[in-house]
Amino acid sequence: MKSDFAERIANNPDFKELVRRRTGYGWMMAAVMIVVYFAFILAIAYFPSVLAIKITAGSPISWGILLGFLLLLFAFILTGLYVHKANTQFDELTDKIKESAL
Amino acid sequence: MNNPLLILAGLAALVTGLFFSAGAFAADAAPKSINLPAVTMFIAFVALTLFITYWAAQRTRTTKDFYAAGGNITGFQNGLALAGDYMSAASFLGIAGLVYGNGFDGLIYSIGFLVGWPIMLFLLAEKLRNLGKYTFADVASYRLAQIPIRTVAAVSSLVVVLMYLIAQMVGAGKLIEVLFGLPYSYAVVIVGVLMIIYVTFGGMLATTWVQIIKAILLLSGATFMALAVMYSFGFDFNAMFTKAIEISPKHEAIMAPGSLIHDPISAISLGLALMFGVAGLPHILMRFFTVTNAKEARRSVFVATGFIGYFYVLTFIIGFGAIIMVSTNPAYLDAANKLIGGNNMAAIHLSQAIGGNMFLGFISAVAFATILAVVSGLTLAGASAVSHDLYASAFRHGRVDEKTEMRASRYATLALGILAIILGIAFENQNIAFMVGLAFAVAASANFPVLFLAIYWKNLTTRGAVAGGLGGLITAITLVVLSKTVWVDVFHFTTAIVPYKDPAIFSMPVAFLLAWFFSITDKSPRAAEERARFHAQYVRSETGIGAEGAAKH
Repeated sequence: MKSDFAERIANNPDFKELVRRRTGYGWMMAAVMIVVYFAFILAIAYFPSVLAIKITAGSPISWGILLGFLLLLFAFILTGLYVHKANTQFDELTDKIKESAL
Repeated sequence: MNNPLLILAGLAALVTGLFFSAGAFAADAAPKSINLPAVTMFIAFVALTLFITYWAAQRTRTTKDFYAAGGNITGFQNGLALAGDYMSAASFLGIAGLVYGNGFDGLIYSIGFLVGWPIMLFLLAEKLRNLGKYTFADVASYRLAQIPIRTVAAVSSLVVVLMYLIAQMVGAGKLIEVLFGLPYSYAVVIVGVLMIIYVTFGGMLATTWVQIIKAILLLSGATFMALAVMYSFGFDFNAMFTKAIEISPKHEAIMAPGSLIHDPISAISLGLALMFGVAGLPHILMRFFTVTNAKEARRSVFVATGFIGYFYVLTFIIGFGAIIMVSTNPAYLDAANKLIGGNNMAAIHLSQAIGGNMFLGFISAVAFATILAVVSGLTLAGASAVSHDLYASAFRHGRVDEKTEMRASRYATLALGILAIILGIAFENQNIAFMVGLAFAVAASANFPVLFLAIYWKNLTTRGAVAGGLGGLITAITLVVLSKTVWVDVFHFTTAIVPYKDPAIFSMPVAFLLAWFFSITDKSPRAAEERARFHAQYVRSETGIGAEGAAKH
């Protein structure tokens, strides 16, 4: 890529908008995943007995099992949210930038 | 290599011959009997995959075909293939076995293996696709010096690939010994020969389709098992868990955190390696170059995350099913009341308990197919590190024509395949439990930091990237060697020098710190040029303008 061409795109307000929004969103999602996961890991390390508590009296299912399954689901939902937003809003902006650049 | 069909047919005959001669051999030498349905289904799988390889071989003419399946794989297909790459026999049998033995603790590993995928999607997937061509070193060296960066990336890739390969080969040998009644070394040779055929002739296209077929077989088999377990409890989770708690010798303890994670340092260290390791596995990263654009790359991570997460839910149910249906059945226990073949055989025994010998045969064949597909992906990634990064880019400075590079990649595949067979046989009786952990630690500590900084940090220079990559690699390996898993379990010293099994909590910061320090202190003119080139890289990584493949349409 020629540098003046790159310069032209970089100065495009749509490009700035795209980068600002996507970078913010991506980092936020990554931070959420990291915090939730390490909270779970640290809970296992520090409070194993809390995770052993049953979700309701008489149920065989512990909080650990329930939260573990919810975490698997959570990871999947996060990727789904990101992909949806990226494939619609972000790609729309990207296409706009490409059109104006070519 | 003028008539691949003939060669394929010959090799197929050889493999089939090996099976039957081994059958005769095993009948005299070992008490194990050949599992006929398993062998039949496995041969059917091999025949199908060899046909795919033949089909793919005719479509594999250029390096782009060989390394990236021509860039024409769809997001959904690539997602299935990524899931296939990731759902190894080790994670199928290993996690089911862990759940069987420890209940909840098995879930900790499953979660760790899954959470790396969203991270990879949010931070790397699109940018990787926009910047790269065939290997992740293309991305790492995009604006840096080719020779040093590619050499370091290739070395750490090969470490990861070899660790993973040895673990798979040894696992394959042992599994097949139990399942098919075939001698260990025969099994390793069969796996090695088949993977060499898939990769040399069919390249990425064949490897991808082998992976997809295997993923579908594995997911179907595991779904059927989990449904059968749930069916026997009227699809009532409470009933299943209650029964398992009653039967398991650990009782209530299987529903709570056990001994797997005890101190926070180990917990975080393991978590870091699993979470960031995925984004540093060369055979996974390579798959992002097989799709058309960033949109398909994103979609493939979504699909992969869904299938892998679903698969872990299944393995959890399978592990609990095995506690209930297998652990009390004397047919599956040895004299010491332990599971025949160890806890890793829990899922295999369960398949027999559920569907008799026919279904046992199916699951055995699927397990074998799984190993075969995973080692093919690994070999292709290793071969491309050798032929694309070391030979074509570093050694020949990129001045090499398509034909020569193709030939180099095929020789590299052959060499790696033979090496894998030799190592697989050499490590038969070694304790290899540390290998996959080390592979993830190196991926997280050497590949991930370099790739991440190259994409995001303007001031990264060649000197910094080399220092960070090598520092992470050496620290991770040293710490693992000095820890209990190698120092005590392999070398038989009495006490470990490093008290932690997982090195990532130390080796990842070492890599980032070295990369940072040797970059900011780098005042060379080359460093200034590299920083100046960041801008154009940044625009391309964000928009995909100028990305490989996009220009050709």
